[in-house]
Amino acid sequence: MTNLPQDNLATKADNNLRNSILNFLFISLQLAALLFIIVRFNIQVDTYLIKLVPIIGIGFMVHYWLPKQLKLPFFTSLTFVAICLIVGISAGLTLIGIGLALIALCNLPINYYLRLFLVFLAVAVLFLFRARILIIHEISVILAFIGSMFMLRLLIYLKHLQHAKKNPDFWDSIAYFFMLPNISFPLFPTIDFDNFKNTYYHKSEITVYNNAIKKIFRGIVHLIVYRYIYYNVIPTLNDIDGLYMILLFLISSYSLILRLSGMYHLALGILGLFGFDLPEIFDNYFFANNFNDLWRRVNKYWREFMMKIFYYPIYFRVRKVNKKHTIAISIIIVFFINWIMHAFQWVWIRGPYPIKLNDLLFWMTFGFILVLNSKYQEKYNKQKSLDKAKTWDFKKSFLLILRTIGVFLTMCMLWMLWSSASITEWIYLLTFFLKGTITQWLIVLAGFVSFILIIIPINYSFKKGALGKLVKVYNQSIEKFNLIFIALLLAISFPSINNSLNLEAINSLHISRLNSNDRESMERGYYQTLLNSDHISIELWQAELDKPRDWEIKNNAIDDITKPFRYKLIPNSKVQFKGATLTTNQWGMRDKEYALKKPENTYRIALLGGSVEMGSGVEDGDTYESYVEDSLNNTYNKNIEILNFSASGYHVPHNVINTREKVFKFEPDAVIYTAHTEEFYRINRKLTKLIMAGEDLEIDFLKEIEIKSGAKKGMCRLEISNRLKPYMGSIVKWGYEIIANECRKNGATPIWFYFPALGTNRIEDHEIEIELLARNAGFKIISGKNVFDGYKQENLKIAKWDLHPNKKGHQIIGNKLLQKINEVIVFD
Amino acid sequence: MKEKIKEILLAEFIEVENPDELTYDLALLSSGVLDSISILQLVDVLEKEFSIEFEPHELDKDLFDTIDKIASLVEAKKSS
Repeated sequence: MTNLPQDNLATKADNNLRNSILNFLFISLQLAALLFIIVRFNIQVDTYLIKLVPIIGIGFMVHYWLPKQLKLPFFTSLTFVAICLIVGISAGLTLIGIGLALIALCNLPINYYLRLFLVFLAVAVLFLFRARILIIHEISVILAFIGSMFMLRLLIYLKHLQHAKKNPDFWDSIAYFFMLPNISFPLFPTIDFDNFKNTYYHKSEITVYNNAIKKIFRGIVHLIVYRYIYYNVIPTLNDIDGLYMILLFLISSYSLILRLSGMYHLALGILGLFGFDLPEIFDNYFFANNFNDLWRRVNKYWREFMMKIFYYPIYFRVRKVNKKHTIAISIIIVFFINWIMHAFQWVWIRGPYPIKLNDLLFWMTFGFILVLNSKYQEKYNKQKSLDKAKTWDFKKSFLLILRTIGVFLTMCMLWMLWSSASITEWIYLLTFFLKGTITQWLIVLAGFVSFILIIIPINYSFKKGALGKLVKVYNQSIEKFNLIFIALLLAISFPSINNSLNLEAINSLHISRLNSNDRESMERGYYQTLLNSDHISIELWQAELDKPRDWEIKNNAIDDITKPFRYKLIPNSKVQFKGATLTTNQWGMRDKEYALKKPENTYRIALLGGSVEMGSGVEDGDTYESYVEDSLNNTYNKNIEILNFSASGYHVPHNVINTREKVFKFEPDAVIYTAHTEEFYRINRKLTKLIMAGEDLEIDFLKEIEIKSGAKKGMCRLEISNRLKPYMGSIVKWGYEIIANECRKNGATPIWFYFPALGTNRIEDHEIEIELLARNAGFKIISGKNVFDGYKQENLKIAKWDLHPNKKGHQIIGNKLLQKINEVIVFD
Repeated sequence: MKEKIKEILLAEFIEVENPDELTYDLALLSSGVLDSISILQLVDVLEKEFSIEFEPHELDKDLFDTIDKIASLVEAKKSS
């Protein structure tokens, strides 16, 4: 009898242990599946998440069993290890050191305002590094991390310290700044310090971990849906030609906010695995039915940050001066600050921030709409109903849906403004709405009415009927349902399963790549677009993040740079370009030395092309031109020379001028003109750029097209490009005919060699069209349409941010040319 | 105090068929029952009613989320 309490205690301890083990297995199993899915779908591959996967997995398993007092130190140590793994030990230790120093400054036992001043001073010094006024390598490479981890959080932390009765706990402070997932999510939720502390294991461990799993799962789903829209739904700007396409663009662009919510859920979920059960950050923002509601639902952390740090203090000051319009004035000031804070965040993470009017206009319009909304609410709708979930009537439901659609479409419009390259481009895009015919508008209206008619019964069912009950059942057993969904997600991460179910399309979502719009931005070097938003172009920004500053060609490698179609590489020069040495011969060719006069017993080929042919990003001698030349000389008992007349940025007009003025001085027996995917688009891009800059097009034929198209300086890029689009076929035809005719006149064989550019979608109709133009002009054809089939294109480009082929890519192209060249040239 | 605050909320800010549903521990801020504008309007009303002045940092969830918390805050202000 006396042993009974002890037995009970032992039994209870056994039960606790058993429950702990079961819970551990339950959560670990789900986590393992989710981490596996992250790897299979290459989620956040460019921001090192996959490198963090083992740390997260093993870290959770160790952390789970640690006593509570060791959990926070372990979490922080894990972050330190991850930092060193990602940025290297030396830079990692520097980052940790700077971080700890900043936290120490905040907690110095001196007057608050003196501390504030010292922190400000430290941040100002760091800013000198960000502005590249001071340069120390170890610091330069970690500035983006410092920016992302400290700059906004310091404001929150200092605000907390201002009113805190005592200094916060040491490990709370360290863990707040050094959050493990932050390393892989530069755009990180603006977590409040009080929230961070107060939600740490504020519920039972299993609830906290289950919530974490839910957030990770939701984040992955958002990111996969985002990827689907990003790859398959959002049209390229150049494809927008009327009402339907602009509507599709409008709606699909805004849907890309899923990327942000996906990243944030994932980051918060990872934090949850270590006990931080932070509240939801997004609250069904697509269902907002007024603008205050939207501001409350979308990125709640950011809203709370703005309210706490700026809105309330400003409101309390303004009301002393102006009682009547306090809220309106405060909102406008806060939205101006909102714009500044976004710029501040970008400057720290990314570097220089181009101040753009449309960005400011976006925030101020949003603020102004909120003011109107608030005024309306103040006047007509002051009281909030607690009973709204319980009642339903047709009129209310209809108006609610109408309001929700109204908010959604207004936000789509604003989002388009925010992500446009300029206000002119946004206005130009809006003109496509005017291009809709009456029939098209009637169809859109019918679709809109049908949509509302479908939604009303769904809304009823959700409030009063089966759907509501279903949601209730789901919420009650969410863990079990999640298991099923995770299993499904796991299944579709295997290509073999997708293939057997005829779901091959899902396999394309396993790869992280740029979509057509971002690829175009990358190709035209128009990186500014990525800086005016943190939605559409995040992919491109990530690709840019690692790009060395001296990646692009130096102007001192190019001669006659002011002549758009006559610029050339400087003879006898040696420069670093895209990470490789680029040497030119006495004629300004990226090639070995050749005599002007063709030697005896020599077959000479002139190669006309652009950056791929010039060998952007590969070493001298690793171009496919060199590879083919060496192989041919090893095969034939004859001296074979391939003279490389290519240069970065050359297209049809450059090659026409080269052919007329330079090529035949070298007496070639054959001329190979190279064409790639989007031949029309590339010329269009070049001409658009020149017209935008108001430059002289040099060639009469092109000047005529400029006049005929009506494209002129002052129009936005997109409008100029669209106006030129119908003339691209004539320009290519004109160019091909001149090159082929010049060849015939000089006794050389004209050869047209086509292969697709890496990372581009082949468009068969376009390939057929340009091949026909080449054939009609009299070229002999070598087609390398399928040259990259069977290869993983990611492995063939020079860098993740640059689509030019690497050495291996050049060899593959070279082999294709070698395989086919005998069909058009007889060497013996 | 709590009753008075509840009265103010029911009179000007919250519409409810059964007043008992507005409990003293119902989260007003974090659940979105009151939005940012209503909070500031409530601040104005409370300041007039109880002749007190709030500070910006006091509109935090920790101090202002429920009738219970608001009442404690008002009482603390009145007594200081």
